[in-house]
Amino acid sequence: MRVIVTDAEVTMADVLSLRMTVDKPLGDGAELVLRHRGTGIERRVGLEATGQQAGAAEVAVALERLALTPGRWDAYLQQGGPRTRMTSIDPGFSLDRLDAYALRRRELAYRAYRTQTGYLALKIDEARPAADVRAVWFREGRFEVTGLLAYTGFADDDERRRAHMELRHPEDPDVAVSALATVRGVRFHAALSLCDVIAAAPDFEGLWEPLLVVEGLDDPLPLGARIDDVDGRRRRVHYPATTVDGVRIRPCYTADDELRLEVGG
Amino acid sequence: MKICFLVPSAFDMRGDVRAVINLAAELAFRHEVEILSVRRTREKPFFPVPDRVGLRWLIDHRPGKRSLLPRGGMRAEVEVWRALRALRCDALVTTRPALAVQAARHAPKGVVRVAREWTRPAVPNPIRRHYPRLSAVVASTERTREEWRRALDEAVPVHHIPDALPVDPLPRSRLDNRIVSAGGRLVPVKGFDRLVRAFAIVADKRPDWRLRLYGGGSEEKRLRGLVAELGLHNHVFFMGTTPDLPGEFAKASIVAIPSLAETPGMTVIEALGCGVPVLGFEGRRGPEDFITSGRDGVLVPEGEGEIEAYAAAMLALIDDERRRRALAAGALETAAGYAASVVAARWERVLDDLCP
Repeated sequence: MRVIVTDAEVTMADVLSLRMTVDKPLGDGAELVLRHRGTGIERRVGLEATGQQAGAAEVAVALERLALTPGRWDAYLQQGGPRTRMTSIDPGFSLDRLDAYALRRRELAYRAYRTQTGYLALKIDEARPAADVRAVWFREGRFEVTGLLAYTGFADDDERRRAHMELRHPEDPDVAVSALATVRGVRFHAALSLCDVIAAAPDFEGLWEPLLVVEGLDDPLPLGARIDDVDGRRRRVHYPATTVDGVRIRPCYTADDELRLEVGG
Repeated sequence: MKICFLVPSAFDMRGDVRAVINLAAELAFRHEVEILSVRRTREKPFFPVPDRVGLRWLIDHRPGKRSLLPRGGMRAEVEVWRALRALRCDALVTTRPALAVQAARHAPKGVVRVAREWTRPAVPNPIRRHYPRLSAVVASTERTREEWRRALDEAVPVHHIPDALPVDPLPRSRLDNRIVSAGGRLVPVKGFDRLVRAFAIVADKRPDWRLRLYGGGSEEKRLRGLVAELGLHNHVFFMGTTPDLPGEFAKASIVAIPSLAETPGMTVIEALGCGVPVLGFEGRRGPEDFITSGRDGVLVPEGEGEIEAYAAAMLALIDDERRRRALAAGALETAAGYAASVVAARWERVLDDLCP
């Protein structure tokens, strides 16, 4: 059986919606098989095709009911004979949809994507409230960062919330530098004086962790960059460094795409 | 028919390697096809070779591999000579003039010898002396065919067949991401510095758009320095190399090709195949051979003020979604001419005519 997925999307309600071209119409026994890469665990779900036309079919699968665990799941279609890995021509990536998907509070974030070899797969990540970084600057002696709040459940409106950004040293969390931040809806902007950082850290060279503390949220939000398809920002994005009082400061990312401020070194 | 492609290395990340693998993969549905790589430079080929295509190599140049024999050109020539003397196939397709000269001199007489050419004839004397012993020359563009025809003075038939897109269906862009992509080896001839400078103007006016550069090479450090100098660290991403460039192009709304010379032009036809408009420069060896400005992409004149003109053309595309979609539709129509089945059928006609 030959199947080509032309449109694959995980909706806001975590329903996998697929449009595909098939050489045989989907019958009663048609199943979507999801296979976890690594462990080989499989989940099967019967498919009820809606809007079947000649050579085309549309299906929708509620993912929450399948108890999928974080990781990557390859998608297969089985009908009668052996299973067929589902070829995809949908790039599986829309920045605006990802931003909209991250508005709701979630424990798991699902994404349908096309593998490098051209097949449909699902990527599932644990989701917790976070501040997603979109831009970073050194301007007028300050470290500035702007971005979007993700998985907080806040609406994308103009409502203002009290917030501040903290810069903590991982070896001594009591040593922190703080500055007011602006949060409107899900957009944030924070700026921190680099002189304050140097003054607070004469003996604390190393990687400082920025956190955004927002009114209405229990825990401080880590700053990172995960709401897109770019993995490994550490290699791909190089922020320029600045020098304050002879101390070099440079923003950088960790291996798991969290933002840090490298002081000294 | 048994067809053998002789390539300098089937393991590298180059457009010509991609083109040969695409063609071999389609021909292998109906013929016995083998790729003979002079060098093996890594464990696995950068672009995957399907199981139905045979793959052999002559010299192991993998990092860490040691050999008592010298690594230079002389050893390669000897190995190619030995391989050609022992060759058992109906048609041999070479992919470099140096290999074509070797094939002309040493391949068995019963074998149809075809030189695949992407660039103009660079070394006229050996070509004039040895190419007449070949069965045919197949150029990748009309312009290249004319150059080879003039160089060979009708001594050998010269055909034009473009490169092929992959056999598997290409991803289709939704044109809804604020991303401009560019891909290829990061070397001076690709002109990525012109693109970065032009994108500085674009980012100033449309700060929510991003430029993604795919590939690696000698220019990367200099380009990263240029990005830092222009303050584009939030806008330009160095995405590294990928064996799935079409998959990445399909995430973009515009593909930028700022090359001074675009040979073999695989990135251009892959962008067209993904339904993404291409923005390039006019010029004898640029993407002009593949793009019709206003139909499937936009070409900007080179020369004084070219950076500003390129940025203006990019901004015009960014601001006009309807035009982008119209160009994307044109791109898909153009790409149909590069489908693997269409291109392979043209190769089969040429080889059938030549085979006794």
